Amino acid sequence: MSPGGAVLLTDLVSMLKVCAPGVVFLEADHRIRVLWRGKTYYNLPTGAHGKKPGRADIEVGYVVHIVKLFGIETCAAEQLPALKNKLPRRTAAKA
Amino acid sequence: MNALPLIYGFRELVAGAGFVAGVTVDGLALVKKDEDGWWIYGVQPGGIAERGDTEQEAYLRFKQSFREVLADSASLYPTFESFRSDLLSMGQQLNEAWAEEWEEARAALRAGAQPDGELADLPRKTGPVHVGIAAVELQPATAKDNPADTHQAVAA
Repeated sequence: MSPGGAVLLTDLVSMLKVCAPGVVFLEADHRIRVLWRGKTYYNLPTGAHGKKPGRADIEVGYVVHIVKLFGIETCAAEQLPALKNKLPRRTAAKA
Repeated sequence: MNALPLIYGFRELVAGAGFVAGVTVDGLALVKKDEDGWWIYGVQPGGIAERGDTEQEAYLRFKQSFREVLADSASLYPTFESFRSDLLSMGQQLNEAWAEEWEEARAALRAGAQPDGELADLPRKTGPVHVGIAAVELQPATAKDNPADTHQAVAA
């Protein structure tokens, strides 16, 4: 695992359910698609290291990308402390 | 510079249910270094990101992930037309937050900033950039349809 931090898939899902209500997860052969309000994130890893589903670590960079794509920076940083120093100054202040 | 505005393109063959498609991807991405390595963040298409220990590794993994996403699309959509429609949507999606940083990075290069790292020596491309994903059904496929990198440059 990279030293930059990771979050559990279950924690990511919980955050998205709060910050992106109605979010849909579509598991394909290789990746999980995350769909919300007409936006789609396409390459969420299904998990690493053979962990049980939901216990996989997701590197924070993927989470940052989803959060920025969906425009939910403020809510996400409140839900996932691991994001607080990862979101650039401009977006961290966005309402 | 802490971000590099990348222009990239590649061609891929994708097989689906009863069809083989030639897919051409032309995209913009932001290359950034974080404490956990290098990240390639898709700007447009904006729904893909990937990490590597080096810039080149991140880019190779980014393309590999993109190929898997294309394969996922072929498995999710049962006809060529529905597959093509999915790719068109994918290609049009803009990650607005990264797009802003991409433009800032391009402006910094134009103002004389010197990038460093493995991708710093890529050709510079100025002016408008074509972006999107195109898919054609191959009937039949020919050698020129084989997968290939079509271009890689830094926007300036």
